[in-house]
Amino acid sequence: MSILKIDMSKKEIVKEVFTKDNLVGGRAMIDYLLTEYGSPTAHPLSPEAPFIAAPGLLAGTSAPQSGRMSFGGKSPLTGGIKEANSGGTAGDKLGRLGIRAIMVQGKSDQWQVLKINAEGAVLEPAGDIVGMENYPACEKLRQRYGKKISVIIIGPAGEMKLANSTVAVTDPEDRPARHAGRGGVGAMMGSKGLKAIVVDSGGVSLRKAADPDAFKQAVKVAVETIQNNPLREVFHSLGTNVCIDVDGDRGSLPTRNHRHGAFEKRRGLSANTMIELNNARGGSMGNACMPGCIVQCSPIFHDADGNHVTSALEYETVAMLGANLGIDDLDSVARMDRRCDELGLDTIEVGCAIGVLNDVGLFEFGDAPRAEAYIEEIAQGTPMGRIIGSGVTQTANVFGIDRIPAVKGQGIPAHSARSLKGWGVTYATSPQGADHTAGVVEDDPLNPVGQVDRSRTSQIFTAALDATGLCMFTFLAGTPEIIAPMVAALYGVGWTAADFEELGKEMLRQERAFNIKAGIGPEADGLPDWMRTDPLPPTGSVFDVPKKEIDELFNF
Amino acid sequence: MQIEIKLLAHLKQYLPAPDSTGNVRPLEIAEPATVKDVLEKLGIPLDVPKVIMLNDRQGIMDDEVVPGDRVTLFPPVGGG
Repeated sequence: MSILKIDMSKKEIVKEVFTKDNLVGGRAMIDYLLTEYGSPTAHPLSPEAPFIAAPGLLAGTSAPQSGRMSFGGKSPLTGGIKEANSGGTAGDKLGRLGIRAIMVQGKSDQWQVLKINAEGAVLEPAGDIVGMENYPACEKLRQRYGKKISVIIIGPAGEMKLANSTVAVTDPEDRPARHAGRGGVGAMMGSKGLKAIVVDSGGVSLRKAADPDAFKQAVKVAVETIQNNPLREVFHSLGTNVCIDVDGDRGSLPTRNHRHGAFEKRRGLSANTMIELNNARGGSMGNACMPGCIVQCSPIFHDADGNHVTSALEYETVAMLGANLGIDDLDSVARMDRRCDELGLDTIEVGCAIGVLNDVGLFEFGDAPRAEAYIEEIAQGTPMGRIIGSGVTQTANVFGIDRIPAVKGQGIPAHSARSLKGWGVTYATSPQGADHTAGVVEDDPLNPVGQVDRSRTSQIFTAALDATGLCMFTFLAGTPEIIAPMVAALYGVGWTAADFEELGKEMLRQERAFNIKAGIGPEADGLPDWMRTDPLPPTGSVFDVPKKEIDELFNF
Repeated sequence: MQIEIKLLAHLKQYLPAPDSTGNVRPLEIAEPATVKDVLEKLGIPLDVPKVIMLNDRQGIMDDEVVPGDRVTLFPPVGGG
């Protein structure tokens, strides 16, 4: 097991052994490495600020849906610690190769590709893929390095070091459709002069567990638990877009720049509409984004001519580029999703940024061509494009907008805080900023009481989950009691549900400590003030969890 | 008309004939009926968090239900 340390200035690669005593992976690895090597006061785009890529603890094994890839460092969007993760095929391959992390520092003036295979790792000039959009760049890389590679890549947005740029990972169809979206991880990678990482694990088999029988048994229990969970059928048949109606019904679907929680035209964006269009056009629901996935939640979407438009057309994208912009045309949203995937942009942040332009007369709700045109400006690197590509807070600041839907600078996602108060506490307090995956809370959503406790529990669980490389939808397997035995058997250590919980706590402590040193303290924990006074129709609710209680969340 | 209902997880508490086993039941309901009417007939408050499937599609409140349809209620989802 090793860590690759890359010095992009000297073009040097050092491979360091990483012992099993340090049970960190994924987001925990990023937290650990940044605590050890990161400077909280360095500019996020400086050569000193590390860019880290890390698969999870269970990567490269037969554990179900264990191939998530984490990317992170200091965020140019929030100014604090950042981890964003994605599916795709790279995590499994890096796991098989025994690579626990890739830490990149320095800066290369000539764009580089990092090639990793069983023989080792080497930097090569990126050549003609520089400036290319993600789909054609990945095709070129396959021609150059072979068809079995997995590609990790930044698009033109990451090359421009825009604060809202992503890192893309190729899916089982070799498309750069899985994105580590939030917080500008693309700019972190771009600031080092690194255009792509190609991983070829050709011929290397799955990792062997220290205790193979115990591992096999633990995996069997996890697989059965996921298969038997009724929600598996929901995600598989209907996709994540099921939330258009789930959130629409409960008044938490962000509509028209976070001004409403329901969208009267949502039928055009719904799961059923996507299913019908896919059936008619040769697209499909229920695809895996990584090897070993049992849930298989993801759509592949075609246009009216029956051609592939985009993969991974998920709820957050459909809500933030659809309902949040007053757009009910799924084809327009799909085109925008494809453009964002090509450029390497987070669709949530783009949706927030275009949405606030309505406040200054620069965007009329429902104007799909205008929204598409703004994304093309990002592609062209015009001043307006760079503004929008820098996220909602920068966009609002440039145009003198005060009603900003963001926490710690990061745009608020598609489960509305005022009518999902527990989820709102997570947005307010997560060291990641407003992050819908950092700690899901859905119970008793209009009641402010008890939500801090729920969010704390959820954030601790989710942080530890993010260390394992398991997809969030492994919550279908419910519990640390099912996850911990897989880690214990793989590494041959005693590791229990209590250790799982303690890992989550330690990660959050490290993240908070980094943020405080970076200048983001407890006073930044909160939703924007206007969400306390501006009621969200149709529930008419405001965010009213007291700040005093919010400040008690990190009491561990 | 007769349709079929399937209630999962904590939603099982709303099943008619609780002394039977399993979570699938036939349900008699007057035509015409919508998904919303089915929930009201079962006494499920409309604001109880849930995901609804009507046969193999998502169940929308105003959707019409026809004889032989299956309405399935799941506990809520998160994320996306």
